Amino acid sequence: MANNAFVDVWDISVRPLDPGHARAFVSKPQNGAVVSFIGQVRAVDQGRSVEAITFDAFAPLCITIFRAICAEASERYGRDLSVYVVHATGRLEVGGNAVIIAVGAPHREEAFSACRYIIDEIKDRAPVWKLEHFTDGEMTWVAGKEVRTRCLPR
Amino acid sequence: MKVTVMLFGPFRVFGDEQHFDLPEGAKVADLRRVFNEACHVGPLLNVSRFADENQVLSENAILQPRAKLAVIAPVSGG
Repeated sequence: MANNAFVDVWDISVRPLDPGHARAFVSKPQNGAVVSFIGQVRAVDQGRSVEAITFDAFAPLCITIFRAICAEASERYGRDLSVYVVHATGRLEVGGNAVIIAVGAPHREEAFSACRYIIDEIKDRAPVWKLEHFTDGEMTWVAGKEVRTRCLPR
Repeated sequence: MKVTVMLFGPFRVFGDEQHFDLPEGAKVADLRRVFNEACHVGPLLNVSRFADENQVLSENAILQPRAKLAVIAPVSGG
């Protein structure tokens, strides 16, 4: 899997997330399907108007967990998958790209399944935190999901 | 022995790092106790874990001298 996976955490003030980079990584001659997921900052959360979100992360463990999740996806859906995962840190305005996942596979079924598996697992396991900035000036850390002890490997 | 706790997300209100002096053989549970005594974190710490760069640690994990751990509040990425 190692040669077919690209995982990272980027400070978006240094390098914005780039869907084209993701597509280029997973588009290979043997892949008949490319499925991507882009998580964006939305304008409303639970009825409150959002201006931006600041993402914080423990990047080294994030990368370790991303690699493990990609390996799990490969084990479940095919060793020939190509997978790209990059999560942003820093402040993103509404519409900004927070996470990009792309999966290339010979056929669409495994590409869709692997992409869904990866984003679901990231939401449960990756050490990332969101600070929501509301348009009324308030800021709140999003109440998240408690992580399990020894979440590697699953 | 010296142990460093790196702080992220909602724990940033306590700074970027906290430093503790613990006896040899201390466990993650001991670090949790002294961290709470020092910072009075409250309920957030009860739903948080400690981790190194490779894994989330159990409460019984023995701390290494000069260990540098992160405290992991409930996560909200994606």
